Amino acid sequence: MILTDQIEALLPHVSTPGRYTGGELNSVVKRPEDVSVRFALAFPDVYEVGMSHLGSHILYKVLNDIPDVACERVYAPWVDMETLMRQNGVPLFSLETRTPVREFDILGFSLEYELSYTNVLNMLQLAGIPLRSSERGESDLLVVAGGPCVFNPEPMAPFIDAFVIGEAEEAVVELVRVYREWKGHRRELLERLAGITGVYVPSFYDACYDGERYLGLKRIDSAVPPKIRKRVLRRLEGAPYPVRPIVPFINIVHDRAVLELFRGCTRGCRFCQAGTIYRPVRERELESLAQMARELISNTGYNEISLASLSSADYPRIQELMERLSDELIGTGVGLSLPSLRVDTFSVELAKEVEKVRKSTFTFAPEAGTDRLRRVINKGITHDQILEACRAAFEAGWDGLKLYFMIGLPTETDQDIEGIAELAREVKKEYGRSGTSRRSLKLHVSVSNFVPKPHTPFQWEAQDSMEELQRKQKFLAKWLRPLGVKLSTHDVRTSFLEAVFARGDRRLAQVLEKAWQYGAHFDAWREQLNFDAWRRAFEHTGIEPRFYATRARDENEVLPWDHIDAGVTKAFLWKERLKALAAETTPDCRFGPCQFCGVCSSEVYSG
Amino acid sequence: MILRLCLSKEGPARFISHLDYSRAIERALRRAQIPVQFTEGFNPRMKLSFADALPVGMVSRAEWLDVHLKASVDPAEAKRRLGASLPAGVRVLELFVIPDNLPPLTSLLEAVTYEATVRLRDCPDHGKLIQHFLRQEEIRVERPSRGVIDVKGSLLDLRGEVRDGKLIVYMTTSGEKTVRPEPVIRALDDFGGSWLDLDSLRVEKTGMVFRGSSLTGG
Ligand code: SF4
Repeated sequence: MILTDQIEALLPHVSTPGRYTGGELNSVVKRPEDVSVRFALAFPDVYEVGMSHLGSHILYKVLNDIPDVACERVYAPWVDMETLMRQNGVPLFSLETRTPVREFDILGFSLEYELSYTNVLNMLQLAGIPLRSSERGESDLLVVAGGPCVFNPEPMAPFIDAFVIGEAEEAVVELVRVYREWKGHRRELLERLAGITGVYVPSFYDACYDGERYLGLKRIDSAVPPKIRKRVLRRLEGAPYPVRPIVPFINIVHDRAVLELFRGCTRGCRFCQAGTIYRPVRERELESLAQMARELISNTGYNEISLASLSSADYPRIQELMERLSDELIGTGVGLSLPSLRVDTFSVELAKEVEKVRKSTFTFAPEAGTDRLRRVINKGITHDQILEACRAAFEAGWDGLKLYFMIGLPTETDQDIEGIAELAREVKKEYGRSGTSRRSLKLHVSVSNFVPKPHTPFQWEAQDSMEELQRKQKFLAKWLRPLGVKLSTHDVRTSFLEAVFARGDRRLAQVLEKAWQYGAHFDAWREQLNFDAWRRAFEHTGIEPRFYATRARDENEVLPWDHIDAGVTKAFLWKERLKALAAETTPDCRFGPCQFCGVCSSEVYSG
Repeated sequence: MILRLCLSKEGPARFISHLDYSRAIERALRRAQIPVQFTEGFNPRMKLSFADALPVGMVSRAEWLDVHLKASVDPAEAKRRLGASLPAGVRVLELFVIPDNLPPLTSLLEAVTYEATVRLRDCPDHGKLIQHFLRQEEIRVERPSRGVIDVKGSLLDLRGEVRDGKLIVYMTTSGEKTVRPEPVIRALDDFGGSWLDLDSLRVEKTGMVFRGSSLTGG
């Protein structure tokens, strides 16, 4: 039976078969005989998650715009489909031409989340590709990876032939060019790839240890760079953008058109990795955005367009842009949406404009419960400002409010956690006072657990133990219960694993492989998390996870991601850390003077 | 102005739910810039009314629906534009203007016709077998997770034909009660003692019959 029939025979027996059909509007199908490089763009999660990822749509466009390159999509089959594929000998396949992944030239993974690492291993195995780079031979395809996680690539280093660090729009074109021109042995290909700025070929570096301590990487080939500089587009204006994105048949996580206003964010929240790795800020011009919005709607037929960025209200001409778009869209049934709003009245004003009819839930992220702790994390909003923003939302007619917080932040005490409850109480009072109590306030407090991330001022901090996080969750629940506030929390085991792998070194690769062999995959899905597999994997390999998650590092410790140059200097991060401990804030360089984080003057940006 | 459309659902589109299908049609109408009316209220939706909802997996060449417009269009032009905007697996088979005062399609639905194809395991006299099957006092079929019912009254017609080792069944069911073809074919297989290879069963909805007219599509 040919593969396509084999796949179709399985589809009536799985949940959501629309994940596996391909053939969606705007998908690009090229005949294999018409191209010279076949690129499988893989996302290590289900279709609905992967298709919601803007970066993949961008790369899909960039690659398919090259006439002799075919880029096809690959997602992790959900467990029911995976079981059937294994039973029937169906290998991992691409959606566009239903080609077995191992027949491609290059397989590229997007690593967005540490808890998807086991899915990468699972997909490699389903594709019939040797797991480790060292086991791959001349006839195997090239396995590459990019995305925010590769700012600390080490835990995945043994499985990936080459990482692309930073923004991949340009680097991936160079990578394909090198591949196309290469003839000869695999090693020569890897050597040439290592010559591309932003490309890290881990097999050319050996990791050194002294007992438990990590000492750094040693180059085994003097031609490769000691440090790998992240790739950054100099300008976003004019950069390729998918104005004809694939429109899925089935409902996905973010089922709407996405307009990227700008990239980067310099607010400087000290827990936030996106705030450093995407620096500096680069904007698109208003005229281009209006034009892109028009094309997006006419090419997709979506009824919603999301103005996306790390903090959309920071776009300098946001009001003007929204007015322009609303005017154009009036009567077409197309709405605007603004994700990731700041906690201020200006944001409420903006939201009021787009949500003329639908008064659902307003979302704010104060992140911490007290003014002091908010200064520590450089989220400089005060208690009063938060209440003012809430009042504005209530007066504008919102009856639902969702507040995001984090627990386990550096220097946090029980007082800060009580502060979350205190804030919730005040918000409720504010609702009563606003004289708008048509119904009653639906208040939802969502609390995640702090995970220290590489390339942030908190990269040296210890994460709270799982027991401590659990205690804090219970403590908060006790305070919130009498208030009638809905509380949702995150699984502490997930946050623990995330912390281990976010700051891990190469030794953790064995843990990943073992845990996967013991049955771990789709770890990010609460009902799939198999913590026992992880516990056994740590035991089996003799690796102590707390060494990575709950241990504070000192200033001089060599960090496993020190060879990755994100442009922001380590000295700046350390200085920010000290300011955090002193509860001092740092202003946003976008609206004030440069804070000398290093990125604008670094070679990363100025070349 | 109201447009009455008959669309297909095949290829990749056959694996999506009715809700996803209807969303795909809405998007295509927007891309085609057809001036569709919206419902009032908090969450304005396009005014589309489908005659029936097709189960996931079934191929159809008879998905009938009415589209309410807020301005008039030239039907030939609308057909061309919509045709160019639909995703793979959805084609416009019919498109015409109907008077504004017609009752909704659902209330006019009289019958649905299907064509089922299934490989033969045995070759009994299929004609006789079907005759006996239909002559039973009760034709009991088991619907997945919804129990057993008697479809004698709602099975309006069933004929078989053998071609290339396959049985092709033409079936007409009443529009009042939804009877899907698969359980009927299963019952027929049971009745003849497992003479069909049910794994190879393929069902296609071929037409819908409405009161006052016969719209078979295609
Ligand atoms: S170098 Fe200065 S201006 Fe550039 S991102 Fe850093 S702080 Fe902002």
